[in-house]
Amino acid sequence: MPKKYFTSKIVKLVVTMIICALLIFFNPSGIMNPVRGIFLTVALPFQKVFYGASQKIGETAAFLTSISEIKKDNAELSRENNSLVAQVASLQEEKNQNASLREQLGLIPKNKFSLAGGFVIGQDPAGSEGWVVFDKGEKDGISAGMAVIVDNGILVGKVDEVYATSSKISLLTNPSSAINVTDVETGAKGIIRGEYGLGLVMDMVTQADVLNVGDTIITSGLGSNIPRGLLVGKVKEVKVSDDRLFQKAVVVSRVKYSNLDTVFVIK
Amino acid sequence: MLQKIIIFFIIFFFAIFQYSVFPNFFFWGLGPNILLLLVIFWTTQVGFEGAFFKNILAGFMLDLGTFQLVGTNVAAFVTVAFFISFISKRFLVIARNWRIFILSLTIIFSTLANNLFLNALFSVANYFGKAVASSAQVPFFSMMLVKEIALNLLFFPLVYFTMKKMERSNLLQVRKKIY
Repeated sequence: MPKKYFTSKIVKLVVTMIICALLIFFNPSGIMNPVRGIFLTVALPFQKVFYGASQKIGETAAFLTSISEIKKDNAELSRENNSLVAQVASLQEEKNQNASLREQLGLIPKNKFSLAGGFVIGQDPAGSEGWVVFDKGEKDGISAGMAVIVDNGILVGKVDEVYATSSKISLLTNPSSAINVTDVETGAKGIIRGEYGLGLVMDMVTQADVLNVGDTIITSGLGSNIPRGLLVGKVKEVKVSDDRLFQKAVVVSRVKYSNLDTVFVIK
Repeated sequence: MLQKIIIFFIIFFFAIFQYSVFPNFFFWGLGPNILLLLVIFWTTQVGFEGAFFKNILAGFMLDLGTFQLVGTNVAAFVTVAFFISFISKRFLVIARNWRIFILSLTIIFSTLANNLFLNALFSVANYFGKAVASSAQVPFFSMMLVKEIALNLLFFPLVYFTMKKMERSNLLQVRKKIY
Protein backbone atom coordinates (compact mmCIF):
# COMPACT_ATOMS: atom_id res chain seq x y z
CA MET A 1 0.00 0.00 0.00
CA PRO A 2 1.50 3.41 -0.93
CA LYS A 3 2.50 5.58 2.04
CA LYS A 4 0.05 8.37 2.63
CA TYR A 5 2.02 11.64 2.67
CA PHE A 6 -0.84 14.09 2.81
CA THR A 7 -2.38 13.08 6.11
CA SER A 8 -5.19 15.14 7.56
CA LYS A 9 -2.72 16.55 10.09
CA ILE A 10 -0.33 17.86 7.46
CA VAL A 11 -3.14 19.23 5.30
CA LYS A 12 -4.53 21.18 8.26
CA LEU A 13 -1.08 22.53 9.11
CA VAL A 14 -0.36 23.62 5.54
CA VAL A 15 -3.78 25.23 5.03
CA THR A 16 -3.46 27.10 8.34
CA MET A 17 0.03 28.36 7.40
CA ILE A 18 -1.20 29.57 4.00
CA ILE A 19 -4.15 31.43 5.49
CA CYS A 20 -1.97 32.99 8.22
CA ALA A 21 0.67 34.01 5.66
CA LEU A 22 -2.03 35.69 3.56
CA LEU A 23 -3.39 37.52 6.61
CA ILE A 24 0.07 38.64 7.73
CA PHE A 25 1.74 39.59 4.46
CA PHE A 26 -1.25 40.80 2.53
CA ASN A 27 -3.19 42.37 5.36
CA PRO A 28 -5.38 44.71 3.29
CA SER A 29 -5.72 47.94 5.26
CA GLY A 30 -6.20 46.23 8.58
CA ILE A 31 -9.08 43.95 7.64
CA MET A 32 -9.17 42.58 11.19
CA ASN A 33 -9.34 45.99 12.88
CA PRO A 34 -13.14 45.91 13.31
CA VAL A 35 -12.84 42.46 14.92
CA ARG A 36 -10.07 43.73 17.20
CA GLY A 37 -12.24 46.73 18.09
CA ILE A 38 -15.09 44.46 19.14
CA PHE A 39 -12.73 42.23 21.13
CA LEU A 40 -11.22 45.21 22.95
CA THR A 41 -14.66 46.66 23.70
CA VAL A 42 -15.82 43.36 25.19
CA ALA A 43 -12.57 42.86 27.10
CA LEU A 44 -12.39 46.44 28.43
CA PRO A 45 -14.38 46.00 31.68
CA PHE A 46 -12.51 42.79 32.53
CA GLN A 47 -9.16 44.38 31.77
CA LYS A 48 -9.93 47.38 33.98
CA VAL A 49 -10.83 45.17 36.93
CA PHE A 50 -8.01 42.66 36.53
CA TYR A 51 -5.29 45.21 35.77
CA GLY A 52 -6.29 47.45 38.68
CA ALA A 53 -6.50 44.57 41.14
CA SER A 54 -3.24 43.01 40.02
CA GLN A 55 -1.44 46.35 40.20
CA LYS A 56 -2.55 46.84 43.81
CA ILE A 57 -1.44 43.31 44.71
CA GLY A 58 1.85 43.77 42.89
CA GLU A 59 2.52 47.07 44.67
CA THR A 60 1.74 45.52 48.06
CA ALA A 61 4.11 42.65 47.37
CA ALA A 62 6.81 45.06 46.20
CA PHE A 63 6.30 47.16 49.34
CA LEU A 64 6.64 44.15 51.64
CA THR A 65 9.87 43.09 50.01
CA SER A 66 11.37 46.57 50.23
CA ILE A 67 10.67 47.43 53.87
CA SER A 68 14.35 47.20 54.77
CA GLU A 69 15.21 49.84 52.22
CA ILE A 70 12.52 52.25 53.38
CA LYS A 71 14.36 53.40 56.51
CA LYS A 72 17.48 54.16 54.52
CA ASP A 73 15.47 55.97 51.85
CA ASN A 74 13.66 57.98 54.53
CA ALA A 75 16.87 59.38 56.00
CA GLU A 76 18.18 60.24 52.57
CA LEU A 77 14.94 61.94 51.59
CA SER A 78 14.93 64.06 54.75
CA ARG A 79 18.38 65.41 53.91
CA GLU A 80 17.34 66.08 50.33
CA ASN A 81 14.18 67.84 51.49
CA ASN A 82 16.13 70.28 53.62
CA SER A 83 18.35 71.33 50.75
CA LEU A 84 15.36 71.61 48.42
CA VAL A 85 13.59 74.07 50.71
CA ALA A 86 16.50 76.43 50.26
CA GLN A 87 16.46 76.01 46.50
CA VAL A 88 12.74 76.78 46.22
CA ALA A 89 13.27 80.31 47.32
CA SER A 90 15.80 81.02 44.57
CA LEU A 91 13.71 79.21 41.94
CA GLN A 92 10.79 81.59 42.37
CA GLU A 93 12.74 84.25 40.48
CA GLU A 94 13.58 81.80 37.71
CA LYS A 95 9.91 80.86 37.41
CA ASN A 96 9.02 84.45 36.64
CA GLN A 97 11.75 84.67 34.02
CA ASN A 98 10.60 81.36 32.51
CA ALA A 99 7.04 82.62 32.05
CA SER A 100 8.31 85.68 30.27
CA LEU A 101 10.60 83.69 27.99
CA ARG A 102 7.89 81.14 27.12
CA GLU A 103 5.67 84.01 26.06
CA GLN A 104 8.42 85.40 23.87
CA LEU A 105 9.21 82.04 22.24
CA GLY A 106 5.56 81.15 21.70
CA LEU A 107 5.65 77.96 23.79
CA ILE A 108 2.34 76.57 24.96
CA PRO A 109 2.12 76.82 28.75
CA LYS A 110 1.79 73.36 30.23
CA ASN A 111 -1.38 74.14 32.12
CA LYS A 112 -3.10 75.15 28.88
CA PHE A 113 -3.01 71.68 27.31
CA SER A 114 -6.35 70.06 26.72
CA LEU A 115 -5.86 66.72 28.45
CA ALA A 116 -7.83 63.49 28.46
CA GLY A 117 -6.90 61.39 31.47
CA GLY A 118 -7.36 57.67 31.83
CA PHE A 119 -5.95 54.43 33.13
CA VAL A 120 -3.55 51.90 31.72
CA ILE A 121 -5.37 48.54 31.51
CA GLY A 122 -2.86 46.28 29.80
CA GLN A 123 0.72 46.14 28.63
CA ASP A 124 3.07 44.24 26.39
CA PRO A 125 3.31 40.71 27.84
CA ALA A 126 6.70 40.17 26.21
CA GLY A 127 8.23 42.48 28.84
CA SER A 128 9.78 44.80 26.28
CA GLU A 129 7.85 47.89 27.56
CA GLY A 130 6.82 48.55 23.95
CA TRP A 131 3.18 49.50 24.43
CA VAL A 132 0.32 49.82 26.86
CA VAL A 133 -3.46 49.82 26.48
CA PHE A 134 -5.34 52.98 27.48
CA ASP A 135 -9.01 52.90 28.47
CA LYS A 136 -10.10 55.81 26.26
CA GLY A 137 -10.79 55.66 22.52
CA GLU A 138 -12.50 57.33 19.59
CA LYS A 139 -15.62 58.04 21.62
CA ASP A 140 -13.49 60.15 23.97
CA GLY A 141 -11.94 62.22 21.18
CA ILE A 142 -8.65 60.31 21.02
CA SER A 143 -6.89 60.02 17.66
CA ALA A 144 -3.65 58.49 16.44
CA GLY A 145 -0.48 60.57 16.84
CA MET A 146 -1.52 62.40 20.02
CA ALA A 147 1.16 62.81 22.68
CA VAL A 148 0.82 60.95 25.98
CA ILE A 149 2.25 62.34 29.21
CA VAL A 150 2.19 61.57 32.89
CA ASP A 151 0.80 64.20 35.24
CA ASN A 152 3.99 66.18 35.71
CA GLY A 153 4.49 66.81 32.00
CA ILE A 154 6.87 63.98 31.11
CA LEU A 155 6.33 62.49 27.67
CA VAL A 156 5.91 58.70 27.76
CA GLY A 157 4.72 57.93 24.24
CA LYS A 158 2.10 58.60 21.61
CA VAL A 159 -1.21 57.11 20.57
CA ASP A 160 -0.59 54.45 17.94
CA GLU A 161 -3.93 52.74 17.27
CA VAL A 162 -7.40 53.89 18.29
CA TYR A 163 -10.54 51.82 18.72
CA ALA A 164 -14.00 52.74 19.93
CA THR A 165 -13.33 52.51 23.69
CA SER A 166 -9.60 51.91 24.03
CA SER A 167 -6.30 52.83 22.41
CA LYS A 168 -2.85 51.42 22.05
CA ILE A 169 -0.09 53.76 23.22
CA SER A 170 3.34 53.19 21.75
CA LEU A 171 5.87 54.05 24.45
CA LEU A 172 9.11 55.93 23.87
CA THR A 173 10.97 52.67 24.64
CA ASN A 174 9.38 51.01 21.58
CA PRO A 175 12.05 50.57 18.86
CA SER A 176 9.58 51.76 16.22
CA SER A 177 9.05 55.05 18.09
CA ALA A 178 10.92 58.15 16.86
CA ILE A 179 10.35 61.60 18.37
CA ASN A 180 12.25 64.80 17.54
CA VAL A 181 13.98 66.20 20.62
CA THR A 182 16.43 68.88 21.62
CA ASP A 183 18.99 69.37 24.40
CA VAL A 184 17.87 72.28 26.61
CA GLU A 185 21.39 73.26 27.67
CA THR A 186 23.20 73.07 24.31
CA GLY A 187 20.44 73.15 21.69
CA ALA A 188 21.61 69.89 20.09
CA LYS A 189 18.87 68.26 18.03
CA GLY A 190 18.25 64.58 17.56
CA ILE A 191 15.69 61.78 17.53
CA ILE A 192 14.68 59.73 20.56
CA ARG A 193 14.27 56.04 19.85
CA GLY A 194 13.68 53.01 21.98
CA GLU A 195 16.46 50.45 21.96
CA TYR A 196 16.09 46.98 23.43
CA GLY A 197 18.19 46.67 26.57
CA LEU A 198 19.16 50.37 26.69
CA GLY A 199 15.82 52.08 27.07
CA LEU A 200 15.94 55.47 25.34
CA VAL A 201 18.61 56.56 22.89
CA MET A 202 18.95 60.04 21.39
CA ASP A 203 20.29 59.38 17.93
CA MET A 204 21.22 61.33 14.76
CA VAL A 205 22.97 64.13 16.68
CA THR A 206 25.59 65.73 14.47
CA GLN A 207 29.23 65.72 15.55
CA ALA A 208 29.17 69.52 15.60
CA ASP A 209 26.57 69.57 18.37
CA VAL A 210 27.46 69.20 22.03
CA LEU A 211 25.93 66.66 24.39
CA ASN A 212 26.88 66.52 28.06
CA VAL A 213 26.04 63.99 30.73
CA GLY A 214 23.23 65.41 32.85
CA ASP A 215 21.71 67.56 30.09
CA THR A 216 17.93 67.78 29.95
CA ILE A 217 16.21 66.48 26.83
CA ILE A 218 12.83 67.87 25.76
CA THR A 219 10.63 67.51 22.69
CA SER A 220 11.44 69.96 19.92
CA GLY A 221 7.95 70.04 18.40
CA LEU A 222 9.28 69.37 14.90
CA GLY A 223 7.56 67.13 12.38
CA SER A 224 4.67 65.77 14.45
CA ASN A 225 1.80 66.87 16.66
CA ILE A 226 3.89 66.41 19.77
CA PRO A 227 4.16 69.89 21.32
CA ARG A 228 7.51 71.43 22.13
CA GLY A 229 8.82 71.52 25.66
CA LEU A 230 7.71 68.14 27.06
CA LEU A 231 10.36 66.56 29.24
CA VAL A 232 11.83 63.29 27.97
CA GLY A 233 14.73 62.64 30.34
CA LYS A 234 18.36 63.34 31.16
CA VAL A 235 21.52 62.30 29.33
CA LYS A 236 23.28 59.43 31.09
CA GLU A 237 25.99 58.54 28.57
CA VAL A 238 27.28 59.93 25.28
CA LYS A 239 28.65 57.69 22.51
CA VAL A 240 29.59 57.82 18.86
CA SER A 241 27.23 55.98 16.51
CA ASP A 242 28.43 52.79 14.81
CA ASP A 243 29.00 54.55 11.48
CA ARG A 244 30.91 57.37 13.30
CA LEU A 245 28.90 60.03 11.47
CA PHE A 246 26.72 60.98 14.40
CA GLN A 247 26.68 61.04 18.17
CA LYS A 248 24.18 59.30 20.30
CA ALA A 249 23.24 59.51 23.95
CA VAL A 250 21.56 57.13 26.35
CA VAL A 251 18.72 59.06 27.97
CA VAL A 252 17.18 58.13 31.29
CA SER A 253 13.58 58.99 32.01
CA ARG A 254 12.18 59.53 35.49
CA VAL A 255 9.24 57.34 34.55
CA LYS A 256 9.21 53.59 35.09
CA TYR A 257 7.30 52.42 32.02
CA SER A 258 6.26 49.08 33.47
CA ASN A 259 4.51 50.86 36.37
CA LEU A 260 2.32 53.28 34.43
CA ASP A 261 -1.06 53.73 36.02
CA THR A 262 -2.69 57.06 35.06
CA VAL A 263 -1.69 58.83 31.86
CA PHE A 264 -2.94 61.89 29.96
CA VAL A 265 -3.38 62.35 26.23
CA ILE A 266 -2.79 65.84 24.87
CA LYS A 267 -5.69 66.55 22.52
CA MET B 1 -22.41 23.45 22.91
CA LEU B 2 -21.84 24.23 26.59
CA GLN B 3 -18.37 22.68 26.31
CA LYS B 4 -17.48 25.04 23.48
CA ILE B 5 -18.71 28.08 25.40
CA ILE B 6 -16.67 27.08 28.45
CA ILE B 7 -13.56 26.57 26.34
CA PHE B 8 -14.11 29.95 24.66
CA PHE B 9 -14.27 31.71 28.02
CA ILE B 10 -11.25 29.83 29.37
CA ILE B 11 -9.18 31.03 26.41
CA PHE B 12 -10.65 34.56 26.66
CA PHE B 13 -9.77 34.95 30.34
CA PHE B 14 -6.36 33.34 29.96
CA ALA B 15 -5.60 35.89 27.21
CA ILE B 16 -6.66 38.79 29.45
CA PHE B 17 -4.57 37.42 32.31
CA GLN B 18 -1.55 37.18 30.05
CA TYR B 19 -1.40 40.87 29.16
CA SER B 20 -3.40 42.59 31.91
CA VAL B 21 -2.45 40.70 35.07
CA PHE B 22 0.90 38.93 34.86
CA PRO B 23 3.02 41.95 33.79
CA ASN B 24 2.11 43.54 37.15
CA PHE B 25 3.28 40.59 39.23
CA PHE B 26 6.72 40.10 37.84
CA PHE B 27 9.27 42.88 38.11
CA TRP B 28 10.73 41.74 34.79
CA GLY B 29 7.49 42.90 33.17
CA LEU B 30 7.37 39.48 31.57
CA GLY B 31 4.86 36.81 32.55
CA PRO B 32 4.36 33.16 31.65
CA ASN B 33 2.86 32.42 28.25
CA ILE B 34 -0.20 30.67 29.67
CA LEU B 35 -1.91 30.39 26.30
CA LEU B 36 1.10 28.44 25.05
CA LEU B 37 0.79 26.25 28.15
CA LEU B 38 -2.88 25.64 27.30
CA VAL B 39 -1.81 24.66 23.78
CA ILE B 40 0.71 22.20 25.24
CA PHE B 41 -1.87 20.78 27.66
CA TRP B 42 -4.57 20.23 25.05
CA THR B 43 -2.19 18.85 22.44
CA THR B 44 -0.63 16.33 24.84
CA GLN B 45 -4.11 15.26 26.00
CA VAL B 46 -6.00 14.93 22.73
CA GLY B 47 -3.40 15.28 19.98
CA PHE B 48 -2.96 17.84 17.19
CA GLU B 49 -6.31 17.35 15.49
CA GLY B 50 -8.34 17.20 18.70
CA ALA B 51 -6.87 20.51 19.88
CA PHE B 52 -6.65 22.14 16.43
CA PHE B 53 -9.49 24.66 16.69
CA LYS B 54 -8.74 25.45 20.33
CA ASN B 55 -5.14 26.27 19.40
CA ILE B 56 -6.31 28.51 16.57
CA LEU B 57 -8.71 30.32 18.90
CA ALA B 58 -5.96 30.80 21.51
CA GLY B 59 -3.59 32.28 18.91
CA PHE B 60 -6.38 34.44 17.48
CA MET B 61 -7.28 35.95 20.86
CA LEU B 62 -3.64 36.59 21.70
CA ASP B 63 -3.16 38.36 18.35
CA LEU B 64 -6.21 40.54 18.94
CA GLY B 65 -5.28 41.48 22.51
CA THR B 66 -1.57 42.15 21.91
CA PHE B 67 -2.07 44.18 18.70
CA GLN B 68 -0.13 41.70 16.56
CA LEU B 69 -1.26 41.09 12.99
CA VAL B 70 -3.89 38.37 13.15
CA GLY B 71 -2.31 35.10 12.14
CA THR B 72 1.02 35.64 13.90
CA ASN B 73 0.40 33.68 17.06
CA VAL B 74 -2.12 31.40 15.29
CA ALA B 75 0.66 30.19 13.01
CA ALA B 76 3.12 29.90 15.92
CA PHE B 77 0.74 27.88 18.13
CA VAL B 78 -0.37 25.54 15.37
CA THR B 79 3.25 24.87 14.38
CA VAL B 80 4.31 24.23 17.97
CA ALA B 81 1.29 21.94 18.49
CA PHE B 82 2.20 19.98 15.36
CA PHE B 83 5.69 19.25 16.65
CA ILE B 84 4.48 18.56 20.21
CA SER B 85 2.01 15.96 18.96
CA PHE B 86 4.77 14.33 16.96
CA ILE B 87 7.04 14.12 20.02
CA SER B 88 4.41 13.32 22.66
CA LYS B 89 2.91 10.56 20.57
CA ARG B 90 6.21 8.72 20.70
CA PHE B 91 7.65 9.58 24.08
CA LEU B 92 4.71 9.99 26.45
CA VAL B 93 3.51 6.51 25.58
CA ILE B 94 6.82 4.72 25.66
CA ALA B 95 8.13 6.30 28.85
CA ARG B 96 5.18 6.65 31.20
CA ASN B 97 7.42 6.72 34.29
CA TRP B 98 9.31 9.67 32.90
CA ARG B 99 6.17 11.71 32.21
CA ILE B 100 7.13 14.76 34.29
CA PHE B 101 10.59 14.91 32.76
CA ILE B 102 9.20 14.54 29.23
CA LEU B 103 6.57 17.21 29.88
CA SER B 104 9.24 19.61 31.18
CA LEU B 105 11.30 19.04 28.05
CA THR B 106 8.17 19.60 25.97
CA ILE B 107 7.57 22.94 27.68
CA ILE B 108 11.17 24.05 27.15
CA PHE B 109 11.10 22.95 23.52
CA SER B 110 7.72 24.61 22.92
CA THR B 111 8.82 27.93 24.40
CA LEU B 112 12.00 27.90 22.31
CA ALA B 113 10.11 26.86 19.18
CA ASN B 114 7.42 29.52 19.70
CA ASN B 115 10.01 32.24 20.17
CA LEU B 116 12.14 31.03 17.25
CA PHE B 117 9.10 30.87 14.95
CA LEU B 118 8.03 34.41 15.85
CA ASN B 119 11.55 35.80 15.46
CA ALA B 120 11.88 34.10 12.06
CA LEU B 121 8.47 35.42 10.99
CA PHE B 122 9.34 38.97 11.99
CA SER B 123 12.73 38.76 10.24
CA VAL B 124 11.11 37.57 7.00
CA ALA B 125 8.37 40.18 7.23
CA ASN B 126 10.85 42.99 7.98
CA TYR B 127 12.95 41.87 4.99
CA PHE B 128 9.93 42.51 2.80
CA GLY B 129 9.38 45.85 4.50
CA LYS B 130 6.31 44.70 6.35
CA ALA B 131 5.87 45.95 9.91
CA VAL B 132 4.54 42.74 11.40
CA ALA B 133 5.60 43.15 15.01
CA SER B 134 3.80 45.82 16.93
CA SER B 135 6.32 45.59 19.74
CA ALA B 136 9.96 44.74 20.18
CA GLN B 137 10.47 41.05 19.71
CA VAL B 138 12.52 39.43 22.48
CA PRO B 139 15.84 38.39 20.91
CA PHE B 140 16.21 34.63 20.69
CA PHE B 141 19.47 34.41 22.64
CA SER B 142 18.67 36.51 25.70
CA MET B 143 18.04 36.25 29.43
CA MET B 144 14.40 37.19 28.82
CA LEU B 145 13.89 33.91 26.96
CA VAL B 146 15.46 31.99 29.86
CA LYS B 147 13.11 33.78 32.26
CA GLU B 148 10.14 32.96 30.04
CA ILE B 149 11.09 29.27 30.04
CA ALA B 150 11.46 29.29 33.84
CA LEU B 151 8.07 30.96 34.28
CA ASN B 152 6.39 28.53 31.88
CA LEU B 153 7.86 25.56 33.78
CA LEU B 154 6.66 27.08 37.05
CA PHE B 155 3.13 27.77 35.83
CA PHE B 156 2.46 24.62 33.84
CA PRO B 157 1.46 22.56 36.91
CA LEU B 158 -1.05 25.30 37.79
CA VAL B 159 -2.57 25.19 34.30
CA TYR B 160 -2.44 21.39 34.21
CA PHE B 161 -4.15 20.80 37.55
CA THR B 162 -6.75 23.54 36.96
CA MET B 163 -7.78 21.97 33.67
CA LYS B 164 -7.74 18.47 35.20
CA LYS B 165 -9.94 19.70 38.06
CA MET B 166 -12.41 21.10 35.53
CA GLU B 167 -12.38 17.76 33.74
CA ARG B 168 -13.11 15.86 36.93
CA SER B 169 -15.96 18.21 37.80
CA ASN B 170 -17.38 17.47 34.34
CA LEU B 171 -17.17 21.09 33.23
CA LEU B 172 -14.79 19.94 30.55
CA GLN B 173 -14.77 16.56 28.95
CA VAL B 174 -11.49 15.91 27.21
CA ARG B 175 -11.63 13.06 24.77
CA LYS B 176 -8.50 11.02 25.33
CA LYS B 177 -6.80 10.03 22.13
CA ILE B 178 -5.63 6.44 22.17
CA TYR B 179 -2.17 6.34 20.69
